[in-house]
Amino acid sequence: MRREQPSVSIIVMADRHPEELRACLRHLGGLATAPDEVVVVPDDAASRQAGVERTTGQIVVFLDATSRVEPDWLDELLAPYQDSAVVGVGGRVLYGEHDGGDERLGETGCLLPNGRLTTNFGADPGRPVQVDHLPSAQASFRREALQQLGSIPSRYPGRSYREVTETSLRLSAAGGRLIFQPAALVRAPALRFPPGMDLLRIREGYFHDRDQVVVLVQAVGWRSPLVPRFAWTTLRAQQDQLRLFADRVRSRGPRAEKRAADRFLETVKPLVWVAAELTGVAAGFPAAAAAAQGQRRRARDPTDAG
Amino acid sequence: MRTTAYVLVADPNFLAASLRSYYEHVDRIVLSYDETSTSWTGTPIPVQECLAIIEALDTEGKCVHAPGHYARLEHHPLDNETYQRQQALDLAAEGADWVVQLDTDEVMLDPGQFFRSLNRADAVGAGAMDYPSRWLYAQVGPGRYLETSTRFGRAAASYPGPLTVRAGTRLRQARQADVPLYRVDLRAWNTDPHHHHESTVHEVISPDAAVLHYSWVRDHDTMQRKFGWSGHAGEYSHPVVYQRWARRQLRPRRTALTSPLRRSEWFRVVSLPEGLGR
Repeated sequence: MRREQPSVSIIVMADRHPEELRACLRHLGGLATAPDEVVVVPDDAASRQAGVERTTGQIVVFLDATSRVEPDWLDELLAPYQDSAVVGVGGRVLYGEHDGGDERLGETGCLLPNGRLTTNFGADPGRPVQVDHLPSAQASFRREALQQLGSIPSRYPGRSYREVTETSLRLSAAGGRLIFQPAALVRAPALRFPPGMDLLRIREGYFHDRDQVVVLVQAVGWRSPLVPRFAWTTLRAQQDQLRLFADRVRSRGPRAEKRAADRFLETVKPLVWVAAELTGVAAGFPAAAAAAQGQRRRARDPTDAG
Repeated sequence: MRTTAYVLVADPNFLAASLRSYYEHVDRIVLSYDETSTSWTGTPIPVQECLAIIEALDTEGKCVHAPGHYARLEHHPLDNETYQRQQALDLAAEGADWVVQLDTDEVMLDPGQFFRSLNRADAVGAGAMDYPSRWLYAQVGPGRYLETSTRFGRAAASYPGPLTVRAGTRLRQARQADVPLYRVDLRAWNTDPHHHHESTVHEVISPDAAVLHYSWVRDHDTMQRKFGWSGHAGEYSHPVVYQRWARRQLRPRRTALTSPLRRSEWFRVVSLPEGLGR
């Protein structure tokens, strides 16, 4: 079936798991409406922009290689583009057996006034809704909107989902409409940190907060109240961790059976989390300044990749 | 987007100001009242006086009468309130996308902002909009009021229930409904002491754009009668509630200054333009 739709390029972001990529491509082969081209690029910082440059479709779709699309996925994803004000569309992502967390409907893809972002891209509000940013697992943009923006950033090494967040927020801040289309469904394996990987979570917490400052500064600028509000929000949120620490210091109970070293680690974990979050926010400011400087340099000299 | 409203016709105080504040912005207003002019607790209510006020301001013929039997004394007053609201809401929902459910002692200070927020709530797919009310506890002089606040005297939002709901919503109790909320507040962090400090705030507005809730801004006689007909009559009918209100109204400055020392019930003294609630 041929659409009377804009041409579409799908850029599959693949990491080192060929079996996942094969499954993803197999599902793409089963689409009711085929895309104009499918390109596979490595899932790293610079590849999104490289993918955009190597393709020609009027709509550029980024898809994680772990995603398994439904047959009508592409038709549903493209439907909101009939509105010319729409510059980006993302779809619903169900991880594992998760049913989507519909209790937080209305909190999908929001940039809140306290500087935080909500995700909740597994929810099904029953119809397309306007959002401030899109899920990185499946996000699509009008090519001309991306071109007006310059290029997709590559300043978040190892955390390429932030590039989609920043791109979405910048388009939204520039007045473009972003739509979350729940009928465009993909399934992906459950996101879980393996047991005993708390250090990894803490590291993620640090980078999450650092990158959030950078994303905000890039999207809404230094003068926006969202940047100091995010710092204040993070600081306020630590009271729960401090309470947890106090509870653990006071309580004994079944934990008394554990080894002293394990007890100590469990007790201080909330403090480590507080330190990670606060240093993450603090590190975000120089990182944002460096990103802004790099952007100015590139504006002066477009050949500067720095 | 088609928006209608319903009002429960029972209390003439602030009724005209309340209706006038959003009259231009809605297509239809359903007037729900008990056909025997009896309250949920069985006390008489001045329905005819209210209807006369409404008739005078309904210049475009938007108001639709919906009398019914709501003084069901065998039921709890709150159940009666929920029942009457649901009947009115269902009528108002016909041909509408959203239904405004303001009480007649609530006045929109900035209807333009209210309906801009509603447009945003609609766009993000919310099922109802929680919009901040500033709760006026007592009038303490011409244009001067005791208003509930944060512990240290900043403006605080109160949420008696979503002030607009999507057509087709089932109410759980009074104005409350178990639907995804779009929550507007006066700061980027929750300001309502009755909500968790981490409650999501979707949008921030100025206190000058909130809804003014002239909840207990009444004379002594009306206050005593209000405690009789209210859905919360059981809770308010303790003599201490009225005595505390009367004492605080008499000594507003002391009430505001001692607020930080209390565990709850914090107030500040505010000036509002005369005639807002007229």
